[in-house]
Amino acid sequence: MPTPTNSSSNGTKNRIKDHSPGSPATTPNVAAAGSAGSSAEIAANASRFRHRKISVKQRLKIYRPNDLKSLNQNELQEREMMEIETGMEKNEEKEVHLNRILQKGANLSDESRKREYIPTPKATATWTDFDKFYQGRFKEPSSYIKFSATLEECCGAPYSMDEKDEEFLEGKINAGKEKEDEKLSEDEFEILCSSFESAIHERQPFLSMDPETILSFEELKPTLLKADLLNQQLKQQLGKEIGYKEDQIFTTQLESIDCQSGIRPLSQVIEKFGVQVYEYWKQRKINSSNTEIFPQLRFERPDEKDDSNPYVCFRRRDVRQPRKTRRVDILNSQKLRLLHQELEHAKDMALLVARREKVTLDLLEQNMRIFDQRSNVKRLKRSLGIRGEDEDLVNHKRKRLNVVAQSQMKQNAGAAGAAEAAVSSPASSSTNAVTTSDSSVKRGLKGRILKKNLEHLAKSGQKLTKQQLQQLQAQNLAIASGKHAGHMHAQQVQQAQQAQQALQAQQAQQAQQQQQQEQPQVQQSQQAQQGQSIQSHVYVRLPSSKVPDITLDDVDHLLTNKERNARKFVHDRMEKRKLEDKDLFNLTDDPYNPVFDITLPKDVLPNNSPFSSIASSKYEINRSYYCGNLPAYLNGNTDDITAYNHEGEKLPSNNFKVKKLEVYDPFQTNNEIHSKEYPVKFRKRVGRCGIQYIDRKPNHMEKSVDSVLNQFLDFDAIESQEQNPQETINVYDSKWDEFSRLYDKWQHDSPRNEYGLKVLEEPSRLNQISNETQVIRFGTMLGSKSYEQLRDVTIKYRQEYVARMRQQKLNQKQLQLQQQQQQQIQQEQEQEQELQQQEQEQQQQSQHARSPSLSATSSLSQPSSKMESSPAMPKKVNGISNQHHTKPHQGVPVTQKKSS
Amino acid sequence: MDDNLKEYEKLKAELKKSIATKNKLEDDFERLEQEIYDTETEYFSGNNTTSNTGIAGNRFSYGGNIIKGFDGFNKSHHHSAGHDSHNRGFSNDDRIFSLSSAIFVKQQQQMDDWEVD
Repeated sequence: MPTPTNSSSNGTKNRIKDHSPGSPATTPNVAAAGSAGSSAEIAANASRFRHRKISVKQRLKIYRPNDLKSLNQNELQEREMMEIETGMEKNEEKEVHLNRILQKGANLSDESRKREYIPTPKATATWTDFDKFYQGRFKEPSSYIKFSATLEECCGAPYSMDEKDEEFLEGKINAGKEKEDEKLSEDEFEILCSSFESAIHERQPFLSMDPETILSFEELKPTLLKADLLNQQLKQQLGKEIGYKEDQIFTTQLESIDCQSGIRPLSQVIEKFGVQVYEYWKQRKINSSNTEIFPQLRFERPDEKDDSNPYVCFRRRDVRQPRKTRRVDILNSQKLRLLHQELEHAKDMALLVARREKVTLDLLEQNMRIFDQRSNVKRLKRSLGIRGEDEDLVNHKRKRLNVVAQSQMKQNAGAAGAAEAAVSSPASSSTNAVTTSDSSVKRGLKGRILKKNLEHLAKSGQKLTKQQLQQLQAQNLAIASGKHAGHMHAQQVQQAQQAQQALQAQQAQQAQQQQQQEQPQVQQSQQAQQGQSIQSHVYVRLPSSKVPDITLDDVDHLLTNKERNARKFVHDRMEKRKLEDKDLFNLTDDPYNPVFDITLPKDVLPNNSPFSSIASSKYEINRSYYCGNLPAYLNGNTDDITAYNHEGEKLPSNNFKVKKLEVYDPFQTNNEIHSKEYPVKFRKRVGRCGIQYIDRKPNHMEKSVDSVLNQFLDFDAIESQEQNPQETINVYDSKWDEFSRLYDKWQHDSPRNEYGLKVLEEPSRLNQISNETQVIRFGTMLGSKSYEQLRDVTIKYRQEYVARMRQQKLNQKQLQLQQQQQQQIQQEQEQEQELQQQEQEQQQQSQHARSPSLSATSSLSQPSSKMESSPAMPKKVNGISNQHHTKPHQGVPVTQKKSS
Repeated sequence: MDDNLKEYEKLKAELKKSIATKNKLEDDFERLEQEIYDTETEYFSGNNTTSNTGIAGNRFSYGGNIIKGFDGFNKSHHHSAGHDSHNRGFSNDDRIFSLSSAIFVKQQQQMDDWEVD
């Protein structure tokens, strides 16, 4: 697109961004309005003008070269003016020089434009002395340069000496001092002044208001000492943590060596030179303009902007605070905390390393010292001719614990504890196994060494012999069981060995040292056997930190506790109830000894009656007793007892027969009980085809039976036969046989089966489905059936009702018609009609008789047909039939009006 | 002669003392090495349960430790499950603190030799 050619665009190119009028940013509207042209409009549009992104939805006007001539020159320039990108904030555009340039705008010629500029400090001049001061001592390292310090942190004290300071330092302070210690170095001077600056800033932030009020040195001193310039205190703290003494000097890699060398701690410097330097510095401070010895960078807080300053654009850019949600804040702070923790951890480790290195250094020095001492001793010893006493003169080989092995052992100890819980050895019960694991964990805290030793033994997967096992058991009960089955996964052999060696060094004081020493032999022989033991990973090895740090209870203890609690609970309950029942007599405690005078129901045998619940109310209670103090009564100490008859009336107390408490003892067979016994006994018998029979026989053989039997049997013949057994009689004639057969039959044969039903009546199993299933099936069938029936009946009833109502309506109409007719028609016709009506009535009745069957068969889908059928009934119905129908349903509350 | 003997005894006593100091230092050294190793293990396996940040579940949901760096620390990880194993695994090469001791390195080598045998 061609730009309008005018002079303005050339000179300002670097600072003013060109915008051709037809640029994509221009909306067609504005462009059109602009081309139309009144100046007032232009001004208004110009102020509203702003950038827009190109979009497909907006039309852009295209100017052709010949159109440009007709465009208003002013308008274009106006627009350009507003389009100037100063790169400054809005209020900063008011800056004097900039404003001047802007105002003069495009009207200026190129020459005059050059004269206008924003004054900036000159930064281009070449400093010839650079090489003198900045000698390149930098060596490029092979690795990346890691650096995170800011510029201010690197260049030492923020205060920079100038010529005046140098003069003062050399002329006043260091004059006439020979020793280096006495002198104040330049670096120290700068540090001192910086500390003054920062302290004053802290104490007197508004000093510039009245410089004369500046504090004296003594007043400021506490603040000075508190200030931590150049991280001196931090360093001291670090030294303390690592283990350096106060005055020991050390350097860290973080501080550059040359700038820190030979600087005394600030506190010392303040003590020595503080007063002198402070007075000098104070004077400079007071005399300087705005109380700043050196020009300061302008800082501004976002909320206190000082726009009155004409040099507003020379300041630090303030970072605009992004909007944040609270959630983000929380998240970020959490992350920061996490990061802090990480760094803390790293710091801890680094400190540990530093301490280790310190120890290493000390160790080396100590070794050196020992070497010297030894050589001295040796020299003397030779000259004296002493022999022996050599043990101090040689380095004894120190058995070093392997760090990794040790911590692995620690882990194993934890893992073993966990694994043991899972292992239930075949030899010992599961309870035992758990118990041992518990105690092993406990012991693990105390005698870990001993335990570990044993564990490694067991872990190397050998099968211990019984004897060895017993040894171990005697030694440590916790480990022995559950292990010998070789469940534990095989540890690497050398690891176990290492641990063994290491541990033995520490075991010297162990009481069971003897046994310990036997073990390596055992172990080694077994190791030979188990050379290629297969590693299995059945058990999860927990890191030591995962093993819960709680004292574990053993199961025995738990179980006994539980048992005890349960007993206590029951006991308490009993006590409580005893208290509640203090004056009452509770039968449920003692079901075997009902103190009732009871009558057994017919179908309960005395054999099992004591087991049947009294609460089942099968018993008829003839008498009941109340005894105030039952134990005393039972012991015979008292006979204070009250008897009640079955109706709850108190029996007279002088009735001694009744007063006696009857106690039933089911285990005393001949005990007479006051009950009506069932007169027969039953016997179960399995007959043919596994059918079970219940035979019955009389409970007591009574004498009178014979007389009854005499009716059926000829006892005399039997007796005679009995007396003459030699006599040969036809079997079928034998009365004796007949009697015995009959007796047997009478005794045992019964048409009843076990549960009382007659054998013949026993229900057959249908389709091999059990009775219970049948019952359920049948029950559900009944349910659904009855529901269907109910539904049918309801539908039928409704239909009937609807039909009846309709008919009623019809009848009423008809009745009216009839009445009208009746007035007109003669008596004979009346009689005929009566005949007809009777016929109709019969018809109707028959139809009603039919309708239930109809509706019963008709399903729900047919109600409409039935509805239709009812009005199709004979139309001539008289009042009698009407009454006949409505009468039985008068109780039904239906609003007739509504339905009609 | 007597003086010599006295001095000998004195020197011997000093030597004994020095050796005792040395032994103590060696104990210190071992203890420190062990402590460093344990702390490292704890740190790298991410088990330092000292976090009282209130987001215990989030403990591992960010990436990084001082060895691996904190790339993506600022990103929120919702798929922590897959990240965990990757995050927690660490090799012995990561133990820069322990490995900064020559004695530890030597021990490691010995261990490796043992294993080879």
